[in-house]
Amino acid sequence: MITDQELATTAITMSYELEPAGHIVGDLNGLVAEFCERFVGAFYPRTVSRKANVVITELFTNAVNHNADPASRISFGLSLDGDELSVSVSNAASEESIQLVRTTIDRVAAADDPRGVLARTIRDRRDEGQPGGLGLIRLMVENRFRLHASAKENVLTVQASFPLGGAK
Amino acid sequence: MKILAFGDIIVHGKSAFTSVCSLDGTRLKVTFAGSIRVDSPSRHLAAYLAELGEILPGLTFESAVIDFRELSFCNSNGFYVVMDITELVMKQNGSSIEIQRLADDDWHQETLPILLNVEDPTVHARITFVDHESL
Repeated sequence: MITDQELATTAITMSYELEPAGHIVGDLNGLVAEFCERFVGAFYPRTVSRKANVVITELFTNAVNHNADPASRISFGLSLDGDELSVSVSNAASEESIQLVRTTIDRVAAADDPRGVLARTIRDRRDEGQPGGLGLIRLMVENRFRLHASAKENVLTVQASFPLGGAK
Repeated sequence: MKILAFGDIIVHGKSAFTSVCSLDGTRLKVTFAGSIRVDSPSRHLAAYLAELGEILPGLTFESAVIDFRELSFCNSNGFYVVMDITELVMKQNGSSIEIQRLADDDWHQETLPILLNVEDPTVHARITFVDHESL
C-alpha cells in the first residue's frame, strides 16, 4: 500500500492560458484555486494544498485586476514535486504595475521584520480605506513563499516557490 | 443558547461564508465558517456589522469565544471584515477572549494574530489561543 510519504513525492504540473483576458468575469480565480487545492490535496498534506489555494488566489486576482490589456492572454502554471511547490502567473501589465510589484517584493525580502511589514501595511491600508495591496506581502510573510518578478515586452510574470521540506 | 445576529456572503445563490453571534449563558460566541473570496466582504456583511454594533453595547457577558475553526479561506480583502467583527467584540468586553483556531493553517497561525492586534499588551493580556487539528 502506498504511504502518505510516497504520495507526497508525486509530480504534478498543470497550466491554463486564457485569452482574451477581458472575458474573465466572476470568481474564476476561486474556481481554479479551489480545484487546485483539492487536486493537490489528493497527494499532498493539507498544509501544502492550502498553500496552493492561497498563492493561486492572490496571484490570479492580481493578474486579473491589474491586467493592462483586455485583449491579452493570462497564463497560469503550477508545478509540484516532492521538493518544491511553484506557481507562476503572467499578464499584460503597465510599467507602473511592474515596478510596484518589484518594489513590494524587494521591500519584504529585505525587511528585518517581514511580519511587521505585513502588520503595518494591513493597518495603514485599512486606515486609508484602500482595498487590496496585501496579496504579495501575505504570500511572503504568512505563507513563506519566495517571490520573483520578471517582465518581457510588458508581460509581467510573478513566480512563487515554496520548498516542501519546510511544510512537512 | 440565543442567536443574536447572523451574517452571510451569498455567492452564486449559495452561502459561501457565515458568521453567527450568540449568547450561551454569560458567554458570547462568534463563529466564522466557510470562505471569504469576494472583493468587498464588508459590503456583503454591512447589515450584520450594523446589527452587531447595535446589539453588543447593551449586552452583558463575562467572557467571549471567537471560533475560526471552520473558516477555510480568507482572501486579503477579507482581513478588514474579520478585524471589524473582532474589534466590535473586544470593544465591549474587558474580560477574557478565547480564540479557537487551526494549528496547521498559515492564516490562522500567522495573520490572525496580526488582525487581532495581539502585539498590543492590553489585547495580548485578554486573549487565549486554543489550537485544534483540522477535521
